[in-house]
Amino acid sequence: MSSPSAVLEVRGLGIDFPVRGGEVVGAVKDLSFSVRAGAALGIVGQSGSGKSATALALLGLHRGTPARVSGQVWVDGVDVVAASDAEVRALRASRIAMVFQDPLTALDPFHTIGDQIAEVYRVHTKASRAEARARAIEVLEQVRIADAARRYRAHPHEFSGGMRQRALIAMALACRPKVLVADEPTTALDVTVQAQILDLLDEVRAETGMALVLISHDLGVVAGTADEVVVMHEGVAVERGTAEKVLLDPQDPYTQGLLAAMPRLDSPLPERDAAASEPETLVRIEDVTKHYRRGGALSGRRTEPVPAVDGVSLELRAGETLGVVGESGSGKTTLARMLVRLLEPSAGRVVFAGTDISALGERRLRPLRRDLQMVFQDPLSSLNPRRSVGEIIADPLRIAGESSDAQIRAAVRELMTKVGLDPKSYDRFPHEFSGGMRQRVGIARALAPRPRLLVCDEPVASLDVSTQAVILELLRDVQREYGLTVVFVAHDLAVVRQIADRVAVMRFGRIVELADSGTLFSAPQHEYTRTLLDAVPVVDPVAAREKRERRRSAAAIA
Amino acid sequence: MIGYLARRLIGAVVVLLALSAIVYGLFYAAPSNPALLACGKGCTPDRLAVVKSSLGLDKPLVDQYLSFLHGIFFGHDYSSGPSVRKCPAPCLGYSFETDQPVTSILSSALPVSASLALGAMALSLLLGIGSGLVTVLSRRRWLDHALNAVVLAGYATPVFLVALVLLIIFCSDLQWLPFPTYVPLTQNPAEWARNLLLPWTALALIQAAAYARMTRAQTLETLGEDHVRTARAYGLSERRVIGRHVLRGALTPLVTMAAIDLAQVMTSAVLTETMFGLPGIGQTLVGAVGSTDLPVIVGVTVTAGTIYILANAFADILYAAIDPRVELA
Repeated sequence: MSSPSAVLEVRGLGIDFPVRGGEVVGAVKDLSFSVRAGAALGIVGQSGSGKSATALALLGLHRGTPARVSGQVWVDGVDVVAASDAEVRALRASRIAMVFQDPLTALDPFHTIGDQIAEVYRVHTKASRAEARARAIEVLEQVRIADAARRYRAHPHEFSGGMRQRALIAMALACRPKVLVADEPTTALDVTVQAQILDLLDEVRAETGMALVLISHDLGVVAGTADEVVVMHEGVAVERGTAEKVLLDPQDPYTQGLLAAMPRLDSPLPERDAAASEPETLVRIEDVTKHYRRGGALSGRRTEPVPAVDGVSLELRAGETLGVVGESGSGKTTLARMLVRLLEPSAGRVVFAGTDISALGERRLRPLRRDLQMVFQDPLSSLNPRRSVGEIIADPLRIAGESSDAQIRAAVRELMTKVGLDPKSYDRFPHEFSGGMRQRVGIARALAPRPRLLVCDEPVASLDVSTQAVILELLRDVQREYGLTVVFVAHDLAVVRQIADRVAVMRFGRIVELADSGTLFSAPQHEYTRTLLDAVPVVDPVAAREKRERRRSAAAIA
Repeated sequence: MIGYLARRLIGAVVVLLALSAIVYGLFYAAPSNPALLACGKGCTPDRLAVVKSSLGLDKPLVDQYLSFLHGIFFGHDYSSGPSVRKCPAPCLGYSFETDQPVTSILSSALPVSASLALGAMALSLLLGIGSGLVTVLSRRRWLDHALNAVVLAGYATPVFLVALVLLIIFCSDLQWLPFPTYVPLTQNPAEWARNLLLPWTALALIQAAAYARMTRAQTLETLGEDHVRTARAYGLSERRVIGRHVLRGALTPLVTMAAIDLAQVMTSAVLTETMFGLPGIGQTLVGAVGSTDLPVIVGVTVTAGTIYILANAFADILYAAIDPRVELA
């Protein structure tokens, strides 16, 4: 793969982390790749694959940490591993620049966006203040930030997540580097913003001729942008080749498994039992609204209430799975919490099995609580770290009035077996489990009181794709077995398509489209639904590029 | 900003009213018999009656409080028999002990306390932030441990002990410095500083301990933030990373802490004032409480409350000036 014109060449890279007791853990083992000027390399792997450690090593950012790096990393003729600190510092930004995962925290909140970019430019070019300012405005324009001269003076908190990521890319472009490393640059962003940022990276690569290293857990993210792909697993490159070859005709079993697990918009839908004719309605929500007031009562400012959910009406049929999709701020989580009365609606009614629970007192609500259960997004923070998983699952049983210890233990063991946990781990604690296992605990806890409605809020968003697939399968199984009605809230349309019978698309607190899963994904009616679907990354590199062209022409018309 | 200040002012007035009412009620309603205190030793029943009526102590408590408030804004006339004593606004009454106006007692004590507090705070911030940064940035374990030990010792040592040691060494044995007496700044700045140097040091050694700890913790936290990694990844030198991207965030929380401390040192550094013979607010209050000098107690308490409120408002405004994400509204 080595070629004379490579601007980045990695040979035999190894990264070890010393752990307690004098042992070392190998995060990356004997990794080699090279990238030519103007080319794009995708590095794909799940959490723990060593891809982020690799990204940091490309800029020598392991310096000053306990990590031990071996091998060679040649950036434009300099070996980052062997060079002096001063040499590496001079290399950063001017020849290799990096864009980070979380744009909300990657910029200094105390300085203006423009000053931060200008500072980087001045450090590396010895330019005057005025020249640096001009360059900063120029790169801000290059990343399509409108009114760049005025936005130069904005602080990071005045920018949205997508704009902050653009600003960071502008900072990366400032010194015209030869290589741009983007480590999960879109993971924290909404799907439509993700598409914009990926399009932007593709465009600036074409404009500037720099090489791009795009690192992601999402095969779809690299598909449309990378020419070549390296798949990493436990620190080792298990497969490499052109994007077409790796993504369409993978040879390694690990890559094949990863591709199979990835939820796609074009995969065959799992078979569902045909719904009984005219199923009864379990939940009916009528014109439900939830307002939030900005600023506390003590701040004294009279504020306009902000509607998080704005007049939503909906019927949930017994036994169905309703998917609720939307981007951040669309009100999907607020709606979910009102369904189980974790939040009280500001207006409107939530009728569960004939009872209006929207304003019911806590005492009268309590008998209904066991019917309304919820599974949360973050399986770690939603489990009490000081209680064993068995006790966590047993809690709802005790609350429901079960008092015999033997019976509770037996019931918990049964539940644990059902969700795929070893009943022997009753006395272990949440931190001893992986993310997927913790989410199983969360599901077991929700199932314990034998609910009728299960609301899942982004239950798989923090999990790797292979774990996602298993958890979705589990949810399908328990739904069938318990005859549950499920509301599945997610930002990922492909995931929702896997599990939902009907899908509601939310935007600005309203439902813009509600249709059967099949109809919604094959023939979306609402403009916004189409935009969302167009933004979803696909693994076929050719189709991904076509999609990008479609977005571009749509943007050109608009 | 103007709206913020206006709201802040209203809040301050409410707090001060409540504070004065509570203090006034506590002391005047208590079985201390203010008239007898004001009258002094060897008081005859006739004389007591005159004092009572001239101070308005024969009226209901609420009326007394209202006339106290009235005195603050419009002045107060005390008539005892034929003679009328005019007390111009802001009138806080007269000391039972010395018969001086409370306002003039305060105006002689305030500059002393302010001199002590401002100097001590400046010195302790310098010491605290400096040593806190050294421990973090030098990355030398032993230095960190050593400074931690000093900091802990500073926490644990009572100020009178430090004061005594300083006095013995520098005034008595070495005779480098005079035994402190207060010299007004306007009279002789050099002597002012020379006399206050020891009290400043004594207070600063103890206050600095807290700032050193806080600086250390905050700097370590900020060093771990993502934007610091960004700064490093873009080739900024370590000095620039610390100077421009770490310190501002790390030291912001100290602003709030220092402002409250300033108010505290100004109003309640009794031990330091006593040890060094400085006639500040703290000493005045303790003296007044000892002799149940009610007008002075009320006057000092309301003044101290005002200082706290001003310090808090100042901290908020400073905070908003430092951190662009904070809006005063």
